Amino acid sequence: MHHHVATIKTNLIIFGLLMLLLVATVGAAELPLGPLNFPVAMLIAATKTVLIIFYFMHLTGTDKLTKTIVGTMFLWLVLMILMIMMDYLSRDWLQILGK
Amino acid sequence: MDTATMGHTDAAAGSALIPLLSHQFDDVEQQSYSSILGMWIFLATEVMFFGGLLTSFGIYRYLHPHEFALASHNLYMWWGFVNTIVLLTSSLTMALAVRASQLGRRTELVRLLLATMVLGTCFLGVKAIEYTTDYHEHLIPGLNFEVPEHQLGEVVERGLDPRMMQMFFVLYFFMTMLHAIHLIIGIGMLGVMAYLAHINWFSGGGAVQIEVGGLYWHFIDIVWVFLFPLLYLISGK
Amino acid sequence: MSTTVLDQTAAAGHKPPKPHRETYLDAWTVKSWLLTTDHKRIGILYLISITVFFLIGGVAATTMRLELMTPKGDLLSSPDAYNRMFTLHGVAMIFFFLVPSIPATLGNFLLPLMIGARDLAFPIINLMSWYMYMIGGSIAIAIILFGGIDTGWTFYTPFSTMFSNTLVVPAAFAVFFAGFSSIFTGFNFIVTVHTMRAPGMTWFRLPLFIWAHYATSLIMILGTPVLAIAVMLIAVERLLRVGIFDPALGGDPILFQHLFWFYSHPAVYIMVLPGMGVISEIVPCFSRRPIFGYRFIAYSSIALAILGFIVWGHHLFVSGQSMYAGLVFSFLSFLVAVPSAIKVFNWTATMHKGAIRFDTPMLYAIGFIGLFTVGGLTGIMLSTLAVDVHLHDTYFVVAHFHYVMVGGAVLAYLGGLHFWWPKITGRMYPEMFGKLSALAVFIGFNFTFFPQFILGYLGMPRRYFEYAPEFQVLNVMSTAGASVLAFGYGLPLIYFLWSLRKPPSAPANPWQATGLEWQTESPPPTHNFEFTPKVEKAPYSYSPVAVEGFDGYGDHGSH
Ligand SMILES: [Cu+2]
Repeated sequence: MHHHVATIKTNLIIFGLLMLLLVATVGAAELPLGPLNFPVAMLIAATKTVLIIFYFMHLTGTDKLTKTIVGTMFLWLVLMILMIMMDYLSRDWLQILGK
Repeated sequence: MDTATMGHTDAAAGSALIPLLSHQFDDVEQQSYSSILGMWIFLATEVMFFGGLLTSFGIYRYLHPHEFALASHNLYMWWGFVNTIVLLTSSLTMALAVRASQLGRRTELVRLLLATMVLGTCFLGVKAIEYTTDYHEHLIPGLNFEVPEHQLGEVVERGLDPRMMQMFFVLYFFMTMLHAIHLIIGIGMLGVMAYLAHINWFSGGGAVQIEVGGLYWHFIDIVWVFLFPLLYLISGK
Repeated sequence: MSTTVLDQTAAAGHKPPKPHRETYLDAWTVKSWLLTTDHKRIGILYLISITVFFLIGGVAATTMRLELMTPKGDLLSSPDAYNRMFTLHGVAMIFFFLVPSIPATLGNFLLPLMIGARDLAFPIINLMSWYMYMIGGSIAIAIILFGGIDTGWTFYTPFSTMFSNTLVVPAAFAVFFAGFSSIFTGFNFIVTVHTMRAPGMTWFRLPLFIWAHYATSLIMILGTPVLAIAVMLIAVERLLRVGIFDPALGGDPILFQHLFWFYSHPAVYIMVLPGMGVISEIVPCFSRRPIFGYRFIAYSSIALAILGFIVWGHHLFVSGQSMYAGLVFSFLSFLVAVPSAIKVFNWTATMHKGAIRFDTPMLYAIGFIGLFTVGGLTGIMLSTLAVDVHLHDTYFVVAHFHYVMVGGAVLAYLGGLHFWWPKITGRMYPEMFGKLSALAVFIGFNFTFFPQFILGYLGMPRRYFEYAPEFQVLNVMSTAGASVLAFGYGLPLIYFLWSLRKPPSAPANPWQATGLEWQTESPPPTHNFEFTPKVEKAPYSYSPVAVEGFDGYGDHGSH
């Protein structure tokens, strides 16, 4: 909440980093990485998110509880995606139609 | 919360404003902490709200990677790129607006809020251009979707499923429109806040309210940070 | 007891009690109700609204039970009418009664009182929650008037999106609004519990009712948005006729089931966790013993909220989900039994060697423990992969979830309503009739639903209009039981209303219970407490010996 006021410099540095990452994500998409393309794109997006959350949204200055909430909400999203994916990834293991 | 209190004292000394206290709270500290905590918890709901869509998109993309890549090539990556810059810049102005409110600089605050709103509107403008192009290129499911002629050959040759190319656009429009609705709400909210700051309505200088609004704005930005690579950058190389 | 309280207040220097003490119920204009931000009044608004939906859902259930008296379809005009009836029953009971039942009424009313706060953190959002509910509810009633829906409360695709020609899109919006009303409630509860506890009210001095509601709120904010998006996708697919889940258009209908059950399994815990909270309050009070294993019960609420999120695949065992995912979901579903059993064992251990009083709330609570146990154990049978292949979509499943939701959630709701009725309204109800209702509900419930276990095991499928003649005896039994159950439900409705005819006279603490809510008057003043209470003891400090001298915790002359 009323943590120390972030300086303009900090804000500008974060903005610069975000711009760099944006260029990086477009660049990475042009590279022939094959199956790695997607994870790399997501990794860059996650890094951007971390920068925004910690500096623009001031998570650095908050208490443990707020940090836990932020951690939990992303954990839950990942949990949902992974557990639904579990079904689709293993659908073809058994070579029986419809199973 | 010691440093927090000190920071607040500084700000309060600068603006000499003490926020009004709602009857259910014991003190201002509890009130502002609750507001900010409340917004974070609301954002958790929002994450899961978009999460259901992201999951659906991820599943279909996993099941039909070629169709999704081909369909995605019909989007104009550079418009998305420009829009990302616009939205990230609006996040910067928003963060600076929060800073201005914390320092009690009202004129600066109003200007930065207006700048954020203008950038948000620019984003919507670009989106409108893209949607119009999509309309002319017959890419809108339920209205006029057809597989573009220059891709027909590839679709037939590789035995791709045109229905799944339409699926990409269904999810593309659903996700970007839901995002746009959030942005419109955000712009409206900032407009109200800018007006209230302008008429000096906030009893406490508005630092907490602006910060809460800022959290929402940055969240909208984060959604786009994921939507851009997911929708525009499926290179399939 | 009441004299003790009065003496104490007088000794503590309060104003002497006036004949017209200010209470939260004083204002009676329409505006004072529709624009109230008082959590207690919003609780009452919810109480009235959900009762309406309980009655609507009940009428639908009665119609179905009457139809099923005979093997041939004779009461309703067509199988479609029957489909609309069970959909109406499911939608009304789940989205508009059970999900908001305890949290939005008792939870709204009691949560600030129990933690010693003046209101929830966001009173206006609390009121908005009720309006969201009313918007959703109005749409639901409009749907009933204009033809109903026939998809079942589960809205499975592609039937709901491509084949049903009933009002699915409005139903999707009704569920969407009801969902957001519950998100607003949950979000308010979480912030309130974190920031508004009275001095000395540490996490491990919180009543278990609060722990249960905290866990429930977690599910509400993390699960409900996924349901909201799933029903919106249905609306889009149906309105625009584009493929999202329809296999004919390239979609995967099982994806919808994943999204739907990602919310709807945890929703079982939205319905039953608050009930467990109620039971954790009633059992120690009427056993005059401190609750056994406080921390275990508290943590098991959180464990249920978390585990509840990773077991939804047990609804998809025969839907075409990967068998390997089925194995994982089956195993995880077994794990849910652990925290559930922890609670049941701790409640029974609390009663062990206690000075048990069989007042109405306690009768309901004991009923809950028994019926929830049956519901839980049959749940383990259903989460066993191979057994589920036989039992899936039979009456066994119907019986199982009614044991959890009616035997569990509804009994706890009624028990809690009796327990806190004096606090909410300032009136006592006739104890004899209370006991009779508890008994009728318990007996009627078992007669209604136990035969359905057997029917399901013998292979009678659910959601059918007609059935083979050999199932008739058990079906008639079930219908007969349902009429006893209806009598049991009807009684409290009558005597609760009847109790309102006289001015409030209930003592502040008729059960000599220990929670903070019992330290303020019945009904409470608008701001809940004359003084912000200070908490100095753990909850549930009951003792069987010193019943008479007991005066609540935390304020021994500390004013
Ligand atoms: Cu389940």
